[in-house]
Amino acid sequence: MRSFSIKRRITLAVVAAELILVASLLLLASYIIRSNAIKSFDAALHGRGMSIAALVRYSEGPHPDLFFDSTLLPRVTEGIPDLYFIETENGRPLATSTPAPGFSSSNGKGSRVWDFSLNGVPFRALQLHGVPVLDSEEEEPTTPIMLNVTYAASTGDMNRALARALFGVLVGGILLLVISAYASIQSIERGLRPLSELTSSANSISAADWNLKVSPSAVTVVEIAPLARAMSQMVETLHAAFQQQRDFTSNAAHELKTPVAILKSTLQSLLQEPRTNNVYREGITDALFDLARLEDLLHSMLRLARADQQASANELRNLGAIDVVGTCEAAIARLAPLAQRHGTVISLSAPSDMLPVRAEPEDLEIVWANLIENAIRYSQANSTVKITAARHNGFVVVAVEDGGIGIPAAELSRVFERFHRSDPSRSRQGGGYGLGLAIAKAFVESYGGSIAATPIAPSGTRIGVELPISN
Amino acid sequence: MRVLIVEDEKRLALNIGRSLRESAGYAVDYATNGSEGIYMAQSNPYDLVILDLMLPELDGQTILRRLRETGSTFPVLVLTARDDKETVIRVLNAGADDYVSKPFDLGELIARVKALIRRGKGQSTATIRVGTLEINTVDRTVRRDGRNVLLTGMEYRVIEYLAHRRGAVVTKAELLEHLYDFNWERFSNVIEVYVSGLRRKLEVPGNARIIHTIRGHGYTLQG
Repeated sequence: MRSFSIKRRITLAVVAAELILVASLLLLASYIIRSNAIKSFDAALHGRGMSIAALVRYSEGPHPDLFFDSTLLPRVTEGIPDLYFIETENGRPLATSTPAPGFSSSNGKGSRVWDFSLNGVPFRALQLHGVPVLDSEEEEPTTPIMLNVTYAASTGDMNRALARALFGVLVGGILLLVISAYASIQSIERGLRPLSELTSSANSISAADWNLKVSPSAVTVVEIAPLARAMSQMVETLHAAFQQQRDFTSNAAHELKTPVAILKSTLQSLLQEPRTNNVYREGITDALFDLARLEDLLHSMLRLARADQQASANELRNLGAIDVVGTCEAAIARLAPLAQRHGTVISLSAPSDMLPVRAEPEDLEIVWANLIENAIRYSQANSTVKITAARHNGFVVVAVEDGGIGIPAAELSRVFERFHRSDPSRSRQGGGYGLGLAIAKAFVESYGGSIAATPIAPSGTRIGVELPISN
Repeated sequence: MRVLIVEDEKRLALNIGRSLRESAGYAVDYATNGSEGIYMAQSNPYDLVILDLMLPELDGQTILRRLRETGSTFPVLVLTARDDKETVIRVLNAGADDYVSKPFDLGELIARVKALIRRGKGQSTATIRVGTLEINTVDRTVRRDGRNVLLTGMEYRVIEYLAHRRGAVVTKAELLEHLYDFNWERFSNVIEVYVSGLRRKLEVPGNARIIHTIRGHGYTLQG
């Protein structure tokens, strides 16, 4: 796509429209002025033709005859003299000036006009038929003799006046064009100024400064206000995502540092002095234990990353329906050794028919395992962790309940936060990193489900998961 | 010297403690949570406290503030997994003397502990001189009149402590409190055994007396 400038486009459009306007104005004006001028020119020709016809009179004497009294012709002192040709009705020429094209006897009726040029000078001629001779014999009324009069005058003066008038129109039009082009450029620039302000404001956004300064002028421009609002919204969303990512990275680094510190100090203190084989062996065993902790944390973080990545892709994947109860059973089997060590009993109640959900079975197994593991860690010895799976309003609802110490109301909404720990010592001794519930939430949400923690009376916590049922 | 380690990761605390015992000859006690840490720090005369920031019950910063408010003056070295500027500034302002971020190098940690203890006793160099006695606290070697003197671990601890408090009268009780942690039986006549051993090695014929007995009070190191 070629880039283009809105300013240039609008200005060009305005100028083009103005040009068309000026051109048509010019055409219209020239048509109207010209036709008016010709009408009055023709009227003048008619008047002058009639008055020259009045110079035809009867001679004195016993046999009066018609003659053209050229002595009465007005003296022409300047300019180009008019041309005329007068004849009687039956074609007897009475008078003529310099002969010109069309100045010959004609026997048409009415009048006609035509243009011609003589020696490079433009003329317009008018021919009149049936002009009566005004002079008449006294006493004796006779049938009046009719004349054919042809009269022509130079149109040079008229054409010059016409050109002057049109020139005036043209100058006015061009002036209008320049003014409106200038005005449109100005108003476009003023209108677009909030855009450039917005641009420089957007340019100053960085990881250190997330404040998009939207000038008040941007909000008052109807066309730009939605853009400004959308940009503010976008910056806020990005900031939140960035913050979350940064918190996660910092928390992850923090969680990684402690096991690394232990591992490092174990190995360094082993090397400090020569030791017996047994001490070395113990040290290596300790180091391996620390490594296992690190590995655990790493697995959790990778799982979380996978769940996050899946969230956007799951809708597009063509997943088959699987039975939720099967994944619950697999998770319970996986946690049986831990439950046994804690003296906890895990119970599962589920309908006999299938509870179909579109998901990867491994992901759901991780979700249930994390919830159950959490429940075991937070409950006293010899208690029961209850798992129920059921259908409810188009959802498969799986709930994990423990009879443990419960979660304070203020913490309930925060338990799914990444690296959240209600009591740092307790869960760390249990080997948790505060990621189990966050991973469960991420997976559940990636399959379009929801997860929530609620307290149960008299003590304990219920974590409920809803997943859309697959038909 | 006696050091308290307040750290909930037991393995980490034990590793630091072992290293301090072996390479510095310090007595080491442990506390695994905040309230235990405060109680122990207030009821024993520690020469230094190593304090983790993330602790159950009370966090390190609160402990630090409370200790300082109640007049504890011993040096405090903070261990932290967060080494961002804000945390470091907060911790130092709360009364910490130094901080080490995890994961740290044990050797560096021990060197910092030694330096802080030295500073706490008003000593700026690693070698302490009292008359013709010269104690190198890094190598833990002792010379008298240019002659190397070989000491046992306990003898060294006694002379190092006396050297840090040179000129002052140090009671047997004080010596016991600073040289032994909770894992040791404390008998005050043990001190007399170490002091007589030290005198035998440091005050050979021709050398002036350097450990003086103040009858009824204790000892003082003076060249």
